[in-house]
Amino acid sequence: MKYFALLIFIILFINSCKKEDLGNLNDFFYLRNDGADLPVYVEGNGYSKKFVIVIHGGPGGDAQIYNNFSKAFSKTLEDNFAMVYYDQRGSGTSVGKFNGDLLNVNQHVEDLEKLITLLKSKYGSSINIFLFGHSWGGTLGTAFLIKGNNQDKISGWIEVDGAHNFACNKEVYYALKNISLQQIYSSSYSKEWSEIYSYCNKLDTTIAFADTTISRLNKFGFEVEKYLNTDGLIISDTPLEISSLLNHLYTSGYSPITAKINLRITSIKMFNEVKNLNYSDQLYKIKIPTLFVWGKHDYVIPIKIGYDGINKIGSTDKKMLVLEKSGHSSMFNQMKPFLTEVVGFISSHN
Amino acid sequence: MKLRILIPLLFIFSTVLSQTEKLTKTTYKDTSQIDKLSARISYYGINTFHAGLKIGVEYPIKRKIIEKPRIPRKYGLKVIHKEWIASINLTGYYHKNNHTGFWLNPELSRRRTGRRGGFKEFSYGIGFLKTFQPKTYIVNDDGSVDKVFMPGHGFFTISLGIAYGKDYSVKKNKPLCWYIKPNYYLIFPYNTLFNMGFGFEVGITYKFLSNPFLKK
Repeated sequence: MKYFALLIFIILFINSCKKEDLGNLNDFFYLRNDGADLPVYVEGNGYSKKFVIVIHGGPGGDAQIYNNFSKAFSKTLEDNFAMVYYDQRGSGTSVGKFNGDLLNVNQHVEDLEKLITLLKSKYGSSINIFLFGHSWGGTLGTAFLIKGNNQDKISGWIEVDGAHNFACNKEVYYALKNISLQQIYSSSYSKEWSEIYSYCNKLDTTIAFADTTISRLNKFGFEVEKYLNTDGLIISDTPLEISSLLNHLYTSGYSPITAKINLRITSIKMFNEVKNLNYSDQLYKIKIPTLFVWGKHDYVIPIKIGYDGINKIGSTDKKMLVLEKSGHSSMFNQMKPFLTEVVGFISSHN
Repeated sequence: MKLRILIPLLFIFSTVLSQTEKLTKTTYKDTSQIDKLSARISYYGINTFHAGLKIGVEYPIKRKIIEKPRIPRKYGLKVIHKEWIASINLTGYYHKNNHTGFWLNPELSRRRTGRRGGFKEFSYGIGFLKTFQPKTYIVNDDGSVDKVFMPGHGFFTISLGIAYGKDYSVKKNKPLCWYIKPNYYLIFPYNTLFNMGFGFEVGITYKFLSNPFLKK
C-alpha cells in the first residue's frame, strides 16, 4: 500500500512538472459562462505567439469543421500559428443548461470576450490574437469588434464570406436571379435553375420578404453550389482526405447528432434576431488590419456584400481577396490561394 | 350394417378432431419464481466508436409461452416465448475531448424469443446521466480565472433500443445469450432544450440458473 501511494505520488509529480510543448500545442478545455460550457481546442504553433480564434458559421454551426474536416487546411495554419477552435453556446458540442433568451448576439460577444481573457491568462498577455470569422462568424466578429474597446485586444480581423449584413436577402435574391438566368441554358442542371429563376421571378421586391422566403433563398444559396460545382464554376482544389472525415465523424471530440440538433435549435431560436442584423453602417469603427476573403460565386452572402463591407471598414490597412472559383466556403474551394493569403496576412501583422 | 359403417367413421372423425384441437394456439403463463435473474455485460459505444462498458441485471416480470401451429400444419407446433423484462444498467464511457459519462438506465423490454432461440427486443428506458468534463475554466467579471472543481453535468435520459440476439438456453440448455442493440437516447435539459445520442451495444447475457422454458 505504501509503495502504491508512493507510485501515485511520483506519477502526479511528473505530470505536474510536464512542460506544455508550446511549439506543438494540443490543448483542450471548456470555458464556462452563463450556463454554457464552450469546448475550446488550441492546436498548433504556440511559439508564434499568434493565436487565431476561429468564429464558426451558423448560428449554431461548429468549429471542428475547420479543424478535423480537412487536415490539409488546418495543418498549414497550425504549422504557422496557434489555432483556437471553439464552439459557441448552443452550437457544435457545447454543453450546459441555460435559458433560450441567452441565445443572442450580445451574449455571444460576451462569451468571446471571456475566451480572449482566458487565452491571455493561460498563454500570456503578450500573445497576439486574430479573429477569423466565417459566414455567421462574420456577424459575431463584427459585433465584437464594434463594441467598446474590444479592438484593442485584437491584432487582425479576417472575414470570410461573412455576414456583417445578415439582412442581405434582397442581394441574395438579385444574385440568384442573375446566375439562374445565366445558367438555365448552359448548365446540366437547367431544370433546377429554371425552378430557381421562376421562384425569384414571382417575388415582390417592393416589400420585405417573409421568413419562409428568406429561408428558401438561403437554402437555394447552398443548393446552387452543387450545380455550380458540376458546371465547373466552383472547384475544390484540394481533395478531402477520407481519413480526416472519418476521424472528424467518429473518433474526434465531435458528435454529429449533437451538432445537428444544436444547429437546428439555435438557428431557429436566433432567427428572429439575426434576420434583421446589419452592421454595415458601423463598419467604420473597425480600425484594425482587415482581410476580407470572398467566393465570387457565394449566393448565401453575395460578393456585393463583401465589396460594400470592405469599402466601409474604417481601417487603412485593409484588403479584399476574391476567389473566382469559390462559393460560400471559399477556404475549402480554393484552399491554396486562400491559405497563402491568410498566412501572409497574419504573419505580417503583430 | 349401419353401425359397421358409422363406428369407423366416428373413430376417424374423432381422431381428426383431436388432432385439430392439438394444433390450435395455446398460451401458458410461466410462474417459476426462482431461476429468472440474468446478468449482462457489453461493449457500449457512443456514436459506435467512443468506447464504454455496460453492465446490468435483468429480471422477467411477465412471461408467456405460446404454442401455435406452424404453417403448413404438417410441421407441428412452434413454441415462442414472450417476456416483459425489467433491467437496471450502468454504463461508463469515454468520449475523447468531450466528456466521460456514467449512465444509470433502468429499462423495460419486450422480448420475443423464437423456437431456435433467436430473439428480438424493444427496450424503453428512463435514466440519469452524469458527465465529467476535462479542464473547465470560469472567467470572472474582474478578469480573474478560476478552474472548476470536478466539472460536469447531470441529465435525465429517455432511451429506445432494438436488440437482436440468440438465447442458447432455449435449444442447447446453455445459460448464455449474445445480442447487438443499437439505441437512441434523449438527454434533457441540455443547452436550451434537449440533445440526442446514438449508442451501439454488443454484449452477452449470463443466466444464473437453468432455462425455465425447458419443460421439465
